[in-house]
Amino acid sequence: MHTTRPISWFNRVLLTVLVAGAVWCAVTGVWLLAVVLAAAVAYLGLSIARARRGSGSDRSRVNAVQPFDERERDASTRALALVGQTSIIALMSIFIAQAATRDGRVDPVVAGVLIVLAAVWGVGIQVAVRRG
Amino acid sequence: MDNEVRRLRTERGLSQAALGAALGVSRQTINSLEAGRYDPSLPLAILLARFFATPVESLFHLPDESGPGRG
Repeated sequence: MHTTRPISWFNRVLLTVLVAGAVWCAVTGVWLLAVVLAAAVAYLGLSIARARRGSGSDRSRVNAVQPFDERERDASTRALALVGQTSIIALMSIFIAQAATRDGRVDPVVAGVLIVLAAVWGVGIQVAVRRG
Repeated sequence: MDNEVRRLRTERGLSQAALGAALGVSRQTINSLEAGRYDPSLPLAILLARFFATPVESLFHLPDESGPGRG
């Protein structure tokens, strides 16, 4: 009999962000987004609950970032690495395009997220190589 | 990597789901293992070998090497 797996750290953080966002939007009166975020929390919660029990397909569990075993962890890691690479390239492209078309001025949010991504990239490499 | 998992499992009358449950992995992972699409980690390979009471090198072999029952 399969045992229920713990919720992944990614889903704990994502659920926290979504719940906090839904409450924030409700408090500030942005009702449409509050409802959308609440619906996302409900859908994600159900997906995670199913995946934790090992129910459904391997694709649905990896899609929920709730891998059940080592093969699904490998698949999830490879897929999210692709997301990370794409994010860095996309954000770098936006950064360069803004700087080139706005006399060197860049949206501070774009610059900040790029710096955070680069820092996570550096730390991630250090941790991965050390554990390798 | 080729392996004898499917043969040993069917000899024991086990389903992929039952073997997966015994080893703590999904049915799909057993299916991928048997199809040669996924090479297991060393811990999982050892668990499989222990489950079937056979040495790891008898359970898994390189594609150009003959396994048991292959002549």
